[in-house]
Amino acid sequence: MADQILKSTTLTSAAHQTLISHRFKLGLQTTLILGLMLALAGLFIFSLTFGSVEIPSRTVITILLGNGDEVRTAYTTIVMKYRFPKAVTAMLAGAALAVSGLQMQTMFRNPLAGPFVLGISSGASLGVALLVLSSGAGVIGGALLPSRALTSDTNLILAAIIGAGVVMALVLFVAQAVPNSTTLLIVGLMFGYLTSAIVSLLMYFSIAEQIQAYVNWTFGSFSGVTRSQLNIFAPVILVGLVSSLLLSKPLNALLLGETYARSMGLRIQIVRFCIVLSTAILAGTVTAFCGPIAFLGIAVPHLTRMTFNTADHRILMPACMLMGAIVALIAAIIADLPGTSLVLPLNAVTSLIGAPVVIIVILKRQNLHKSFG
Amino acid sequence: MRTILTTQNLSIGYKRPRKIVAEALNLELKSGELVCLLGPNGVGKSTLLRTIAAMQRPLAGYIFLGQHNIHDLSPRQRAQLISIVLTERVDNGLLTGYELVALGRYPYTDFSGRLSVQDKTIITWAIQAVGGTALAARPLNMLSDGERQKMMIARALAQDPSLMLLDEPTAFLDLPRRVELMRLLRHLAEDTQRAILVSTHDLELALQSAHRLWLMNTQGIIQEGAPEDLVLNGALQNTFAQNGLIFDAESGTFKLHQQDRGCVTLLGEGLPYLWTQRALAREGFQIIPNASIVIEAYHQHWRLLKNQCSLEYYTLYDLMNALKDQQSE
Repeated sequence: MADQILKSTTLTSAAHQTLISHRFKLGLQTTLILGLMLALAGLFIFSLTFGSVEIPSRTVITILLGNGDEVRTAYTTIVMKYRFPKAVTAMLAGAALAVSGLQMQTMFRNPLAGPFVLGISSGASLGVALLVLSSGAGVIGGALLPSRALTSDTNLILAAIIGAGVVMALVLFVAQAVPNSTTLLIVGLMFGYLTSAIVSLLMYFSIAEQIQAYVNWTFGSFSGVTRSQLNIFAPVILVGLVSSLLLSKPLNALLLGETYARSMGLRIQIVRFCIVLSTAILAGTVTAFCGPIAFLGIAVPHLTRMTFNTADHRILMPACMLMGAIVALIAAIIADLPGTSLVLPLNAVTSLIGAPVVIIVILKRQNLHKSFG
Repeated sequence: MRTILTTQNLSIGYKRPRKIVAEALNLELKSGELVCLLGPNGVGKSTLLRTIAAMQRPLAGYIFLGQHNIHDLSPRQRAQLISIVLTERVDNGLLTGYELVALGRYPYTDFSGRLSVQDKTIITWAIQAVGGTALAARPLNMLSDGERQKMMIARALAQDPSLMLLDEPTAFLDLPRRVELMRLLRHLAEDTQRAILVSTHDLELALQSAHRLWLMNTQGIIQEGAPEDLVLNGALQNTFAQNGLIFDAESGTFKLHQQDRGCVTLLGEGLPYLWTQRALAREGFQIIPNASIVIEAYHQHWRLLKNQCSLEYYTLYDLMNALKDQQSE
């Protein structure tokens, strides 16, 4: 059948026009991607120069190129030990959250969906809350261990991973059993409420100092990840990002809804499992290492769609990664309040800056809802 | 004509709670054929379509596409043989007509979804086939319902199937669009030698455009045949009579009004006669020779004769009102 079509087809000039305008769009998008890459590289260097001490960007580049011996050792230590891991963490976390948000929004065909709709961050919160609030309360060896050691960074991360993992396993199990995504969305939300309720109960029965430790974690931070932790964080996120690139094609089919997607040969159960798994790994890992970072995951996909004016995930995926990395890096720079020794809670910064930006973009375009037909 | 689809003792319905919609169906679809699936609301037209599209398991029996049992095919193989168009609106504002149609190549592209030259040629061909070239560069939310449905058909066509299933594709469309769409489907079936099965409520349109009808009644029995066969053997009248609708075999339309307002005699010829006849039928008057009321129909005016009185009317509307007034006296 296809061969007949190929032989008999002659393109009208209007059809050629269509193809040309399609190509023009692609060219524009490639330029935009390149622009974002440059912006990200610039911001990365910029973020290494700023902080409580300002280090000239030339020095920063020298250090990054491995010629740290030529400059003051204090500078090398500051850049390599603190600022570099923080900037890399911010970029990876931003990319991860943006990509998981994009996947959730497309799968649920819902503009309000984000990386945490399936209750993954609530699961992580529960893990952390259990650890922080029970320490020193005599529940798990409080008498033997000083609470400070128990709530060390590594333990917090482990607790968050376990919490997120348990919720993720439950959600994946449900994803296999339920007939449609809307049911899954509601079940995910309910998991979120359930875990939040348990956290509330724990807090109600805790003392103020312990609550403070938990609250600090919920503020979110990119600076908690050390060089050695980065050795775990970075590969996991990178694997998650690459595997989500492979989901671009099925996500495109899901734009038309599940019935059409299935009619085109998409195996919905398998695809749904892969999407939930990739989101859970990305969002779960970020939450474990950086705390529940709000907003980025919902806002960045919208910004990207509007900037690139496309619904094609083969473009949106890499674009979201770049955009997410850029937004997270900007938020990290602002949260540090360059030139001062103050540090603002990251979550407050992402929302304070991001929300107005998104509102402005949406009001200007007024077609947000049209992206979810 | 090749046989594209055959069903063997097919039972359709639901397992929990168990409900058999129709059973022992032995149906056939041939290439180059537009078949309309008709029936009152809720008889299970969608269930049948979903079962044929393998969206739903049959309760018993088999469905063959060519030589293949559809449940032995992988989803990808099946997608290369069957495509669907649904009532559900897809109006994603970031998707252009071209991108929508390109999604039809999903079962043919590799994991990256990259379109080959052949894919692009087929996409362009499908867009041309539905007359949608001017729509290709526009975002979906800038298309009218009819234009969007055309592009959905182009998408289904780009999937290069041997069978296309459409579930009430004309539901949101105005009358001219509906006529246009059915004509398009008929041409596509004939020109591309595919089988097209359309479920619709548009009986009169189906009678005019389908090569064959599948008529489904509330007992889950499907009668098939050329539209005219089903009128002549009474199947059409019987199917809709169960729902209190009267199908008039002479005019090929449904009768709306059954109130009997009495008898009149109608004189005249040509179009004025024909349309006066329709107006009288609509208002429930029966036309007989030698009634006490006589209407003479002329071009743009009518004369009403009764008891040696003669009254002139210049619109059918006034004439009908006068007749009804007389009736109530």
